[in-house]
Amino acid sequence: MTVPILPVLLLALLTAACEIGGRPPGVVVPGPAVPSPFPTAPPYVWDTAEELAVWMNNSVARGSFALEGSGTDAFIRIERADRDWLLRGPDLQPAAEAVLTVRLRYRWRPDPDVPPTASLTTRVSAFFETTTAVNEDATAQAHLSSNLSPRDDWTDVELRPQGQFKPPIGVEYCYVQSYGANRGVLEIDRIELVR
Amino acid sequence: MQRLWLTFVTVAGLLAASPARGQDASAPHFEIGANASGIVAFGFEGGAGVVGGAGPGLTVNVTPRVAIDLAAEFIGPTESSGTTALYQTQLALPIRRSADGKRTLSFTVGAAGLLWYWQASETRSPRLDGSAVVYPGYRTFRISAPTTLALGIAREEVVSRHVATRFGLQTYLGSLGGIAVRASVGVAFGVGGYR
Repeated sequence: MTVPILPVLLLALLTAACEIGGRPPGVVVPGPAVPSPFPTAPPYVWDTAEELAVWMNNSVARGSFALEGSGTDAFIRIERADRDWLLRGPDLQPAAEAVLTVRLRYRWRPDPDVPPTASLTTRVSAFFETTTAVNEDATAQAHLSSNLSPRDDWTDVELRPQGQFKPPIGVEYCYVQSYGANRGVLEIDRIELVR
Repeated sequence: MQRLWLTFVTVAGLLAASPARGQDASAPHFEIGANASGIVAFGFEGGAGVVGGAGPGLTVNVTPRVAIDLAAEFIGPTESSGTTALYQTQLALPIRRSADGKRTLSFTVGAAGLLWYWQASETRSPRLDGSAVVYPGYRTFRISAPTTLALGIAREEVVSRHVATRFGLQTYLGSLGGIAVRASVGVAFGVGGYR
């Protein structure tokens, strides 16, 4: 007897693996808009009281903020840096192109009650809503972060890209945030998109 | 892989060409049945894995000496969050029959693979800036190629005009658990009856 053809055909048909369906890509539902009362054209620097107030006074920002000083000497004072806070920048129209990072001018004074043996840094992150995908997940936001060391005088820090984000990239808006850690007072004098 | 297929098709052909002992019972062209099985797989780190399964089966008696068994069984427990099923297609080649033709011992050779089905409901992932990423619900069906060789024996006993009982013992060699042993019991209903 010869080898039956039907069984062989059936077996051959079943040698192919296949997949039907699959996870569709995510869709971004935009959050509240933060229009800027000022032109957001280059150089994308927020330094004066009016400019910094845009980051504080919107429906997205949260935390214990106070705006102190005036003109370019103004700064945002975050009284409870140990709690969650977020500063939302204005929507950039047009989007800022070729942004490398965010530069903050800050002072960070940990609470004197924090034990000297403890870590005295505070971690600050920034997120970019980008014009192009950051990685294979088209809905991901670019993430930058750094630990800020205690400083009594104004100090500039450039936040470091995290994960798969490789600058430069186009930015539609930016927000700066922290989940809080050490007690202390964090002050931000200037926010700048570095290009 | 191609060599493996050629080997077992050749073996199946040689066995099919050998007459079974005893008289040729007149089995119906189709038998519909159900099986319950236990599988012990030895290809896992940290010891053997044990799963149970149950599901329907269909036998096509192509000639008195060759039958095709098709079976699918839902198996569990597995690590998958959805539904996992084992499918198997094999040739059953009688090697011994009782004098009254009611009991048949067959050599079986075939292949097995896995099926997966799962569905996920819509999920919403809020972001810090008040926006959200919405992942629509979806369903996925995936079938793997039958890259596991199944060798064993099967015993069928006709207990009434329309009903037969089955017992099977198989060894799995391949991607499905490395080396595994499957024992199954089942019942089959001959379409048109056993004569």
